[in-house]
Amino acid sequence: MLTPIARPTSQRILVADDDPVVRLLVTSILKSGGYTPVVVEDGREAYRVLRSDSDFKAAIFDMMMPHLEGVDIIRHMRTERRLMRIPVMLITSERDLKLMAESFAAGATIFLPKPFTTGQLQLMLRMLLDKSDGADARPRRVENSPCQTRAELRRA
Amino acid sequence: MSVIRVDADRSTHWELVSPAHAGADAAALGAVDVAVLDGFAALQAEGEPDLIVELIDLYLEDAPRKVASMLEAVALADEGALGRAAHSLKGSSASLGAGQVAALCGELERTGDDGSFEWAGALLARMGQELERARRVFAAERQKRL
Repeated sequence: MLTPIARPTSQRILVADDDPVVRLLVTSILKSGGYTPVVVEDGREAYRVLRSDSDFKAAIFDMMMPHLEGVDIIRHMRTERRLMRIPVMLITSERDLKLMAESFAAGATIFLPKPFTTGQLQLMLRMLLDKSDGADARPRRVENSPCQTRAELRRA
Repeated sequence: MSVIRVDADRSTHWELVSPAHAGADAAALGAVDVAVLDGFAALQAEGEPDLIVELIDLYLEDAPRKVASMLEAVALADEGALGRAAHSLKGSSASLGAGQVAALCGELERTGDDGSFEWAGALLARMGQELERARRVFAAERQKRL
């Protein structure tokens, strides 16, 4: 019999980005919102952390990183039961719709194009965590935002 | 003045600028959208080092490394490495409001995509000029916050 997975209570958010500027920005935004960022510099490090630690409320990955790209980690997470419930935001300066669609197919929850403002990241984080808490998993339209959900991409 | 000096070993260096010359002159204006930087002020945590200064320092430390990677990639005709370095610098430049640098990185990224390096040298030369303009603005903004 399967054991029910407990609702996440942790405020920890895993952040993986090889760019030091974006890492500091994302970390500062998360701290200002009362979250505890756990920060790594590339996909391989994120993979190592996730092998022994699944206590994350969400994850934010850069799409293009050395060693393992964001989408590769997501594919791994979606095959591990203890990691499946963690919603993932992919951030990228990529504008390739095909790549975005592939990332959603792999299990990414939300996309945030760079550059982003503090408000945009905060808004998308709230949407991401709503999905995590099961409050409302329906994709929502964000006015005047470049952020894209899976449903928006299908329409594009 | 050329901002980035490239040595024979392909390492790159910013030219040192004395405080007397650190102000953003007219030629550099517009290289960075300063409103983008100002937008991060609300994130400043009490008792912590100035966030905007930290962001600027990280950028000015990292950008020459990315340019060195691009120069090396062009010399080796390695389109993948050129694309990765250009993509990475594009993200941090756009995030801090250095729009011209970000745009040039986008062009370099596409140059690497199609395997044609014909324009990469010229684009990298322009990159040096745009980075210098951006650096002057960043230096002035940094000075204001110290």
